[in-house]
Amino acid sequence: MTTNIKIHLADDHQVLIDGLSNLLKTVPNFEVAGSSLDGTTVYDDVISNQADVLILDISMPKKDGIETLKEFKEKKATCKVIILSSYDDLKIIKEVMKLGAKGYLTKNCAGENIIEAVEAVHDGQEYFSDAVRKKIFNTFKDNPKLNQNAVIENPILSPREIEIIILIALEYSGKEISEKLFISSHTVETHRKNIMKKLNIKSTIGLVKYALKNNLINS
Amino acid sequence: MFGFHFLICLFFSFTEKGIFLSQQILSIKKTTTGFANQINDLNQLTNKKIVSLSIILIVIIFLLFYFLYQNNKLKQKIKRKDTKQKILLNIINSSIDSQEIERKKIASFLHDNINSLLSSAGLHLNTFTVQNEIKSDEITKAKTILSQAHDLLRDISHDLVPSLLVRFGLFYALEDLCEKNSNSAIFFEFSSSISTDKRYHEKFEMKVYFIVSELFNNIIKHSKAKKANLLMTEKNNQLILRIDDDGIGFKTQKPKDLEGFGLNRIRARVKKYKGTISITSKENIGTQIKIQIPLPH
Repeated sequence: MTTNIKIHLADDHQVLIDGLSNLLKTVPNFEVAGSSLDGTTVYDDVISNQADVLILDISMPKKDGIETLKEFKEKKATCKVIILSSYDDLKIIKEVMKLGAKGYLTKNCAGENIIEAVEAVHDGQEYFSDAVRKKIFNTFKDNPKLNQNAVIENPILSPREIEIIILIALEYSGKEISEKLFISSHTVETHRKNIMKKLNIKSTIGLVKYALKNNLINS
Repeated sequence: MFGFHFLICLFFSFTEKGIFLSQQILSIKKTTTGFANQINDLNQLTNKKIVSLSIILIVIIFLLFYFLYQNNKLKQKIKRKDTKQKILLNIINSSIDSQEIERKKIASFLHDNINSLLSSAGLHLNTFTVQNEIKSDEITKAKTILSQAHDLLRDISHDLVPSLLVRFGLFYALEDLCEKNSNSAIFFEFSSSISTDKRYHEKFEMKVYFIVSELFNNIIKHSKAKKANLLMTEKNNQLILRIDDDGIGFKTQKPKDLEGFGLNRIRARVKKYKGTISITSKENIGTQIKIQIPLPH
């Protein structure tokens, strides 16, 4: 039996906490361990209920999400943090990822992505909601070699994996990719391995071939 | 006989002398009357002089008073103009202040309260579909509408008060403003000698941000520039902003023509913080704006 994933919620609006916990409770191995209405108590609450995942809002009274995140980083908390905010500004996303957040969801699509996000983050991956992921990838749009009309939907590969293929084919290094997509180099490596396994190819050259064949980049 | 002669002689000489004397007296008399005449003339002359002098004096005094009066009038006029300008400045500033307060109020209300309600409604819909395992077009549609409303709210609250400004401060927000305003037609370059982490008082940050964004709007709307620079430095406890562009420029001599560009609003903002603003522009070369504002304590 898999152990339950303990989740802590921090948002200054009780309605949102209620909505979130209702949705999370529909998943069998999720457990809502507690909630906080402002940033001041979050750290202590998480320590006392030993939550695995914290879902954190940025704008909160007294102590906001960014300050809370800094506190978690300073005290080296093991709890994985997912930011749930109505902000979708790249700079904010970049900043919170730097401060150690593992996932970023915008509030407008929280419903669709939150369950996936908790699972992914608990597994040690980074997670972004679709809109955020697209926005991050759009920073590459001015590369002339990028095929602007590349089809991201794919029966075998996830959109994120397609993005990774494109970037590898465009000769970005693992480090560059990790920096620009706000994910760890470890995650990039994992993606690369998964892609190779899924496509049954053995080297980076195979990846480039795949990208060219599927018109992901301009030849 | 001799004595008689002597007497006659004496008499004659006396009479002669007498005649002489009387002649002399006459002549003296004559001269005295001449003197009197002369004195008379002199008197008349001095009288005339006094009269003309006093007339001149009166005229001078009159002129002096006139000038003083005019000067006073002018001073009062200037004073009135000054107070008028001060009142105008106050009106502009207080309207900007209240605008900013309202902006913040509305933005945070929309962002914090309405947004959370919408998200929560979306979450409940999701829970419902998960629990009942229903695939309903109506629910999907409702969710799309909620998501649209959410995006619209985010955009408007971002326009009202940029989220970056609130969360990360002036330098992040201005760097972002440069990036967001840059496109194929114009490039905004941001450079700063101050660390981007630096924070000032919230109100101060907001004022400076809106000054810069208003100046950027002017550049985009009127300058036809291809490149603009924003340079920020701190010196002697002052924040110095320099904004250059390579646009068509204008004649600086006629500041009145520029009032339509919102420059009076910018001036009012700068003045409120006891700062200075200088604008130099050359036609077809570009415009340079330098703003110095003392840092708040």
